[in-house]
Amino acid sequence: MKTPQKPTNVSQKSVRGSWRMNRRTLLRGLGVSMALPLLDIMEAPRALAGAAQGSAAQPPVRLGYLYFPNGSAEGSWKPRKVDNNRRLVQLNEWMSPLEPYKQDLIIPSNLWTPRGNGHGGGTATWLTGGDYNDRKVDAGGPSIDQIAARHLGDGTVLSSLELSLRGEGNFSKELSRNNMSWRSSSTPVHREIEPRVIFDRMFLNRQGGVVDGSVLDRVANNAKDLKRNASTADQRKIDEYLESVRAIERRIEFADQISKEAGRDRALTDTLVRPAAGIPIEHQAYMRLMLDLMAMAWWADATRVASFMLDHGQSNRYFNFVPGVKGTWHALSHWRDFSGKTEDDDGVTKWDSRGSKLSMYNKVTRWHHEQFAYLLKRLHELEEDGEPLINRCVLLYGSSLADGHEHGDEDLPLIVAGHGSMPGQAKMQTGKYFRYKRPTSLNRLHLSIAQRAGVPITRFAEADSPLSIV
Amino acid sequence: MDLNLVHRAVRTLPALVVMLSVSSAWGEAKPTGYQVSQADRQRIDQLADLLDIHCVQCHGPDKGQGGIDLSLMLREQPMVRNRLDWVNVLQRISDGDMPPRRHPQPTAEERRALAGLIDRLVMRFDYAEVATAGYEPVRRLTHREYSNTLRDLLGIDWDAAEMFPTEMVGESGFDNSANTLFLQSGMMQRYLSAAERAIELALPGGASRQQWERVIGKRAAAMRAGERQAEAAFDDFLPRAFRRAVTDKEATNALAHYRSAVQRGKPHDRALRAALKNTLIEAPFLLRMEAVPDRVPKPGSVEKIGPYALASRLSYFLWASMPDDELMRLAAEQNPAKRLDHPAVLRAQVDRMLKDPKSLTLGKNFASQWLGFTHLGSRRRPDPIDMPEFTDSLMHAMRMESAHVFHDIVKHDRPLMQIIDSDFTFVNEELARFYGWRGIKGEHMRRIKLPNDRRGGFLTQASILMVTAFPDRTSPVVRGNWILSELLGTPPPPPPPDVGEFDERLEEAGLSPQRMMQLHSQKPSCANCHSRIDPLGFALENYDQFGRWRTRLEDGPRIRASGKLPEGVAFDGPDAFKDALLKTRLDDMNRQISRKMLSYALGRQLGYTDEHAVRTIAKNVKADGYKAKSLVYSIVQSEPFLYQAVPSKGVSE
Repeated sequence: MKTPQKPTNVSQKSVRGSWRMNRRTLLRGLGVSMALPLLDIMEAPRALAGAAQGSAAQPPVRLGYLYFPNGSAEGSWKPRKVDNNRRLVQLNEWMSPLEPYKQDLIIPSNLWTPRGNGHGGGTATWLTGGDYNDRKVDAGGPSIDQIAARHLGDGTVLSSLELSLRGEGNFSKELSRNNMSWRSSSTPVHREIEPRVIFDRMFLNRQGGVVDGSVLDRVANNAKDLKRNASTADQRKIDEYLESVRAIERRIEFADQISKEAGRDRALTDTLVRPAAGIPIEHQAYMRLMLDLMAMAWWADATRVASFMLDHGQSNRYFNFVPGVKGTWHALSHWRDFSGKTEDDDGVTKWDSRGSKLSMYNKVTRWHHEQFAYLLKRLHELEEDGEPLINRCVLLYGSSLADGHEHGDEDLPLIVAGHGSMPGQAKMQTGKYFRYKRPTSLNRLHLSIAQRAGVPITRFAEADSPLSIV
Repeated sequence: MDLNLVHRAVRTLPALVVMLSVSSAWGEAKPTGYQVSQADRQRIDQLADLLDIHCVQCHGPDKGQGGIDLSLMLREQPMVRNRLDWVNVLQRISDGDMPPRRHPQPTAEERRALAGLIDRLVMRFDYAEVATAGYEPVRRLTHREYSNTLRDLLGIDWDAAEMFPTEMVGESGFDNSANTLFLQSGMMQRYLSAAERAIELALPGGASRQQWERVIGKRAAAMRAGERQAEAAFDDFLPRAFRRAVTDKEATNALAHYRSAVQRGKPHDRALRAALKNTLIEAPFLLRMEAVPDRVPKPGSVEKIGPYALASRLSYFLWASMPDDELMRLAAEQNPAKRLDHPAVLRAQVDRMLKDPKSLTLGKNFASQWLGFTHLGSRRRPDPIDMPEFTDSLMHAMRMESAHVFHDIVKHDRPLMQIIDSDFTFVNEELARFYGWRGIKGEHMRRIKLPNDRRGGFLTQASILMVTAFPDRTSPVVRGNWILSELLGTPPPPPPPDVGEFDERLEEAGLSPQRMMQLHSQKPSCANCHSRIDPLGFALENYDQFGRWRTRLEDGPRIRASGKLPEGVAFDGPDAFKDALLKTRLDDMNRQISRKMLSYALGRQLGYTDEHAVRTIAKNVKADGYKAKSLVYSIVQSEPFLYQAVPSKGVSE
């Protein structure tokens, strides 16, 4: 039975000391549902994971993939002013929330997905670069985050973390619109929607009667017996089972490690507070809590690869809580038709002109930028070895559609953020806007981002050359 | 443009096509020798010639307009693998929609030839040639099955899966389809805590003798505390939890759970609870894999599924839960004449199981997903502020009305015609008030005779009427399409690609839906299909978007729900419409329900290799006067239900 790597030495005390975060920044972020001293306990995880990728001198790169559906209107992704060296001078009205972070960003344009597209297929293949087959439930290949997790996830409690927000409206149960991470071309990875469950998967200790390792050994061995007598198709299913047992084992190891470390300080063990059960009512509070959990997971090194679907494909969520917006997101994305009578519309909401509908569509995009900006802010506040965590991250943020009305697959709205790199790599060309002359495959961007984190691959989907900008 | 592309494609077609399973998401394939006959080969060549000249320039590998690549479709033999696409092609050619008018047109004779060839190769294809038993890979229990199984295994009343992540539904339309039931690693966390809670509920501290008996059986419960009791407990519990006979090794392993808990210092009864709980996270409990693991199934063989597998197939089909003691006993029976797989025994068990209230799941799970009323309250939900009368309890009653009516039809062996028209329904007080009927008190659903012919059959139930309407108005197109696609299984072809633009132009001109519909019918590329769709929907215009009866449109004219079916039968009013539907489309519905129910019973989506079984089932049902029970009998005695074709190794798609 595989056991997670144990720390090879415990003399990382000095390093860990500098890991402690500023409590005030934490408090601001976690909102009401988490108590103040929560993260004091989180100096521990690094000890468990430290040996896996880098040494103390070379901290690991964290990868993040943040997806939003329904695209972004034509023109809304173009910076207002760029200088002769392609440097971002000013973003545009709709991107304004990202203005303070523009030195962290690369805005590439004219990237596209040569194969998968549309609301269902496009979401499912955003990270696989393949073509989606609905009938076979096949996304054309494993997704880049899962490939990265295979290489980076060995020593961490979760090899990867997949988040999404609870769906609303049509399509919230439809498989292809709710999955973008694929372990294999036909196995989507389940996405977590409940903050508490996410917290528990990383940080809950064994109190509460979680089974111990010997039980898991036995159930795994029993399943292996069955596997020997099973058909090939069934063997794969049993492997899924074994993988899920292994995930529990890793979690228990991690929790043990935490409690051992924390046990030295009684005060700490008493203050580990989980988020409340259920889902915050306010959409923004919910989103930010999830972004906090994502940042925390990276910071505590509970995982190095996280992905977050800010909404499901073709989301019909109402954004009426954004001032000046009415109607559902997908309906708004079809901004050229303002009759209020298309099948996408709810039949109640009406608009008076294309212009006003377009501006609402853009406001929803801008609202999501605000949330992404919040994550960037958190990654500046959290520190690792005295450096802001954003320096260790490479994030991809964007959509699988260009203009939502056209269902365009060319010139996708995308942003790369962060400064993570491996030794010997050139710096990322952040703070710049790049326009490719010819439509260029998104898969090349996926390839370069993965290589940034030291994932030893030279091909991804059809792409065999990374983009030089990342 | 190479006009010979299709031709070359056909010439490279190997004589023996290795046919691959379409239902397998795992890359395994069932190789079946399918030989394209000499006569068919000639037909395919002729068809390729005609398509080359008239179609491939746009619908070939270069452009693939409308997502259709005819040269690829021709390569995939038998052609029924792309049946719906070919039906679309056939319809377009016969209607004269294709090729578009601006292109050179085939002669009338060529058109007839094209239609004739497709008709022969696709519509009149003999599915018996390619029939295989199919294979259902191991899958996890659905969340509903998991909850029901815990309930029946432990005798607890608790919805374990309430906080589980939403179940995703793939193309089969059913949540029990093997190809969408993944066991994600995050699930194990939930199974663990659910197991813990379930054992707590079944065996609380200081549990009574009766409570212990329910879980570990009378014999074990009567024994003294100690390892012997634990052994006896597992003798009873393990086969029920695993839904099959267990191997010695499995029994020993279960006991090891107990021993290790004792070694860790737990008192006897706590150790026993822990061991029971651990059983609930074992693979044979969580996964549907009831074949007794005493031998390796031979790759490439077609064999009967074992009696335990049959017991579970039956019980998850009819009850969405584990087999009960009687089914388990019949599965273990040594005498083949008394064993579960004997046709007479099987039939008797179907009768017994349908009488059990658990068979309501046929309405709650099967019919609700087939007909889509499961989405009422989730996908379709009236605004709670504008429409406060649509409470959760009312929408629940609406769903339950449909579920009960379906269950009643099957349970009492009524003819399937009652799906379209019947003289009874189920209501409670709130729902009866919604329909405007008096004198019904209380929350429970009860069967009533319908007071008039405004209601009767699924087409007139509020649940269906609501999920087939827009929130603010009815849409004859949506309802017509629902009848054709879901109820009858004969979906109209997809709209032509320019339909969106056309809509947009009309919308901007500010036309009413009625006027637009008329315009649709005047535009030839719309009219061919809409003349088949719209009349069906207009027949139901007397029911508003909430399913309420009306005789006038809002501030508008009196509704005249009269029209003509595409087959030429005229009707006036919804009641006459239902008669007309029964007269002309009963066999379509019969085939559709046979297809859907077989898919649900097997827990997988069907492919063309199952079509023979589907048609055989439908034929049996028709021969038996369309009796609902004969549908169930035919399914459980069909080849895909009783047999499996074990995938061979090394064949990949």
